[in-house]
Amino acid sequence: MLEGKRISPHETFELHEIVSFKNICATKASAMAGLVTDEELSTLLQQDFTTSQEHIAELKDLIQSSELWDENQLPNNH
Amino acid sequence: MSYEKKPINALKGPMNNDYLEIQNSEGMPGLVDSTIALNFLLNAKSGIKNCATALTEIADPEARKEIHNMLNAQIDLHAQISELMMNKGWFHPYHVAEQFKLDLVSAQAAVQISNMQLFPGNTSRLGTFATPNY
Repeated sequence: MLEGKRISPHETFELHEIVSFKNICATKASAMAGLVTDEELSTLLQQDFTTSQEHIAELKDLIQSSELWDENQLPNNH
Repeated sequence: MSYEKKPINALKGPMNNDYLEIQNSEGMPGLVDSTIALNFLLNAKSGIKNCATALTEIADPEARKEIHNMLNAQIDLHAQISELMMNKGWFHPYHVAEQFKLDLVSAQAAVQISNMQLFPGNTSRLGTFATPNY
């Protein structure tokens, strides 16, 4: 196993699946928060958006510690 | 706002294509909010399922802890959404007849919306964005 890389490939795929789902959810929540007239529902959507962002950041860190992660293959802004 | 007491009005008649007539949008805010809330609830539900399945495939302790936290957050979120929907009268888990009535209204609205000509003009987005292949 590579130095400092802990997450195995199949775990990476699971994480990737969750990240994709979370991305969609976060985008949708932020869009819908503006469309909704009910204030409670709007705050709940915004709350979900902020927690989703935190989760996505944490998942990104996990994926970056994967065996499959190769920094040289990706564009610089990732 | 006091529409909390009368959340979803039954549709008064068939929708017509006059979007600017304010009379045609009666009962719409409740319908929109309840639809978005239901979608949010279903999203939370699939999130819980996804996290649980992922948890059964992951061995790394740190990743497991992370997914575990997410799973707990999603379960709390699901509880919050369903409680809100029950308070607003958008969701009746203990009253099936009421829930069916509500589902019928949503289904009718969906069918009527699908029959409307929502985008009469040209909706092509070519030219709005850089599309070098075209």
